[in-house]
Formats: sequence, C-alpha cells, structure tokens
Amino acid sequence: MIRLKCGLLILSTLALTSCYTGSSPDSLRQAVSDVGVSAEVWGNLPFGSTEAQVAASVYRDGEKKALVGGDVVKAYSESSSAILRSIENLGGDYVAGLSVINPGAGVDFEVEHDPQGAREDRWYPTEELLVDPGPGELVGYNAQLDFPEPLILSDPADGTRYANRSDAITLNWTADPNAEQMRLTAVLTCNSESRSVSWARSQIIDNTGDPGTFSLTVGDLIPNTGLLTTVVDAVSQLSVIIASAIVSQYTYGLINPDPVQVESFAVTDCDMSLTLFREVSGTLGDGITGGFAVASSSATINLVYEPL
Amino acid sequence: MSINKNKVITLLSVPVCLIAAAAHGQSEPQLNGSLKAIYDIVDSDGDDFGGSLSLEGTLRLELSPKFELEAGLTGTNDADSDEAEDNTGSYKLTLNSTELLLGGTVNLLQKNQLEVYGRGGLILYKVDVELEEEFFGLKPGGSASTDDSGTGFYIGLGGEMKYSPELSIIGEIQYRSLLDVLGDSSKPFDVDAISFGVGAKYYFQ
Repeated sequence: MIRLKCGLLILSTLALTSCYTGSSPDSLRQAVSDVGVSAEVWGNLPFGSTEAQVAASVYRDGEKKALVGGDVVKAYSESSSAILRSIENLGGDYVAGLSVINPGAGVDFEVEHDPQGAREDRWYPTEELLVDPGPGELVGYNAQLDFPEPLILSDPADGTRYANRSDAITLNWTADPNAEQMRLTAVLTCNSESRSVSWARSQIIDNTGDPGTFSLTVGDLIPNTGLLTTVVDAVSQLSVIIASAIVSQYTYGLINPDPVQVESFAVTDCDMSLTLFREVSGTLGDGITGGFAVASSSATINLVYEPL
Repeated sequence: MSINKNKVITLLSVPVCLIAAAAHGQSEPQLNGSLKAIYDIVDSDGDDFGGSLSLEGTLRLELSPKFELEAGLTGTNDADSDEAEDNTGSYKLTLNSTELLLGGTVNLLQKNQLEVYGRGGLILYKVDVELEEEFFGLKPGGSASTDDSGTGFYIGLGGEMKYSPELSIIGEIQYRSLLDVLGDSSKPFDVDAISFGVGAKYYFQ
C-alpha cells in the first residue's frame, strides 16, 4: 500500500512533466460532474475474441464511489452477464471479462443491489449467512454500449523486429467511417543484462475519426534520454488494464512503475505490445450528468526492438 | 442434508467392531469416566479458524482389558476465522459446536502404570455458525447466524498414567471431522479440529 501511494505521487509528478508526442484531446470522454451522479463506462472487444473487457466507475458529486454491501456494477451481453470487480477494495474502478457471442447486440451496464452475487467468491454459503444493509443511493443508474466494427490490423506483421530507435512503425488497418476516435496504447518491457522494466504509454492518435493508418518511431515508445514516461491519466491507465486483458497487480504495476533513468539502462531488447482502439460513444442512462460511455474494438500486435 | 452412505457405514462399523471384539472379554463390565480440558485448532475447507478451549467428558464401559465402549460430549467453543475483506466488505465467521462422540477405546500398550490407547468413532454434531460483516463504514454492519446438524468421525491417541486404582491422569491428541456442514446449501464444508487434551479418568468400583 505504501508503494502504491508512493507510485501515485510519482504519477502525479510525471503528469506535470511528461508529454507524449502527437496526442490529441479526448473527444468522447466528458469530465465528471461536480454535482450529481457521473459514470465512466468502457467496453472493449478485442479482434477475434468473444470476451469483451468491461470497466466502470461511478461518481457522486465529483467523488468516485466504492460500491459495498451488495451493490455492484453488472454488465449484460445478449448471452451472458458479469459482475465487475475492483482489484483494490474501495478503489472504485471495476472491471470484468464478459462473454459476447453477438457483438451487434451491445452491452448494458447497471448498478444493482445483488447481495449474493456480490459475495459469490466467498467460501461459505451466502444464501445461509448474509448481512444485507440494503441498496445504496447509486443503484439503478445504467449505461449502454454498441461496439464499433472489428478492427483488423494489416501491417506490420506480428513479431516484426526493429534495430534502431529511428525506425518507423507504420500501422495500417481498414478504416471505419463510423468510428469517432482512435487510441493507441503500448505496453513495453525492456531488458538489460541485469534486469527488466515494464511500463505503458497511451495516446489518442485521431479524435475525429478513423484514418486507417498511423506512424510512429521506436524512439517515440522507447526514449533514449530522460525518465521513462508512463500513462498519466485515469482513462489511459484504464486502457492499459483493458489492453493487458489481465486484471492483476501486474497490470497496475505497468501504469505505476518505478521511475527509470534511461541513460542508466543498457537495453538489450524490448517487447512492444501495441493495442489500437477504435472508439465510439455509448449512452449514459437517465440521471447521469457527467462522465462518459465508450465502446471500442481493438487489435493488438507484438513487436520487438533489438538494438544493434 | 446429503451424507455419503459409505462414509456413514464405515463410521458406524467402528463401534460395532469394538463391541464384537469385546464380546469375548470379561463378563462384568467396568465403568469409568474422564474429563479433559482440550484445545482445538479448527480448520474448514475455506478458512482457518483460531484456537478454541473447551471440555470433553466421556463415559466408558470396559468390556475387556483391551476394549472399552465410550460415549462423550465435547464441542468447539467460539472458534473465530481470520477476518477477510473483499469489494463488498469485511467478514468473520465464528463456529460453535456440540458434539456427541460414540465409539470405542483400544488398549494398545500397557507397561507398569502407563497405558497407551487409541480411540475412534462416530460424531453426531450440532453446529452454530455466526457471521459478522462490516462495510468499510459506508453502510451499517451486522451479524447473521445459522445452524446445522450432522455426522462426522473422530480418532485419537492418548496415554494414561495410573495415580491410584481409581484415578488416572490422561493426555491425548485427537482429530475430529464434522462432515458436510450446511449440507443443503450451495457451499457445504467440512470442519476439522486437531485437539490436545489433558485430564483425569476415574474408575467406578
């Protein structure tokens, strides 16, 4: 916990100092309102998968609220449902994997009071032993998402190797005219002879539509001077969690790493996992006055940087 | 409550075998009784419970120098689980049980005033389970409870030191298992206890 707090302090510092080249402002995500109920809801369907990653946070008067005592966020697809969980109790950021057989049917989110479902991971029978304090004030709020067209990356090939920081990485895919925004999130792991370090970066590459192509250099992801920068805002952090498709402390470590002075780190090789998100806006339910609902499709490619 | 029939038959066979073995023993059965203070280390399928101090009282019918039939009363007294937390809140369970032990004792070794014995048999139990739950101070916490009854088994190994013809000092280690607690629920569990006991045994003349 102490490490987490220190990491948050570092993140706050980095937020003031880091700048990711070429990032555009987010056109889909409105700020949380200082008054009333707000929600941040995101559902992503990776290419070729029948499991969507879904995430949600709920706010009251601008303050993120933890759901306790049987209140949960539930996500429903046409064929399945899932209770969203938080890695940290009282963290307020809830995520889950949701089976989606028919992506065209979308996903519904709702804050519900489900005393037994909220406790389904407990070892004892909760239908026999239950203290139910009743529903909280956020129960009933909802949101709805419809996924954009699947995103299919055509270039570069998975496993492509790069030898110089100046090498260009050009991503190509089939553009979708209905897309509203594109985001690129990178999870990076670099090794030296004595250790390895992992971190993540995220940027909006187009906040007006889907260009079908995007170029950056290896050096944009793996700088050769200064501190390794990392994701600095909550949405980007969430994108890392979603891109990693693993809800674990490891994922939090990616968005909350120890700072590394690159000059002191002799890179032998790096794994670069790039996830491209095609985003469209969803619908927040009645009574929600701030925040956002975003649906995305994504594709991930794994590349290698091996300096000469 | 669903109970494995083979398990019950096996458990019931212990005292039956002891009776049969004792049938060719002495013709005038002797009665003795013991009282032990016991310390239980309690465990369940899902969580570790803390220690529990309680008593065990047992009456035995000595059918032969080697075999005694016995009936005892013991239990688990306020065994608390570790407090756990999840997104919903924090929770802790407390177990209390009353257990009737029906079985036998076998004399394994006798040398001078020292006797080593083994014992085993069937348990008929009643368990009370209490849940205490808190919600990080965001909602009011509280408690809930339920109970169940069923069967289990016990085995033990002990030593007896004769102090006088009527009185002995005894020490024992015992394993007790309460099977299929809350067996009608979605998540039945077993409760196991390893017990250490010391006490006295009195021979009625």
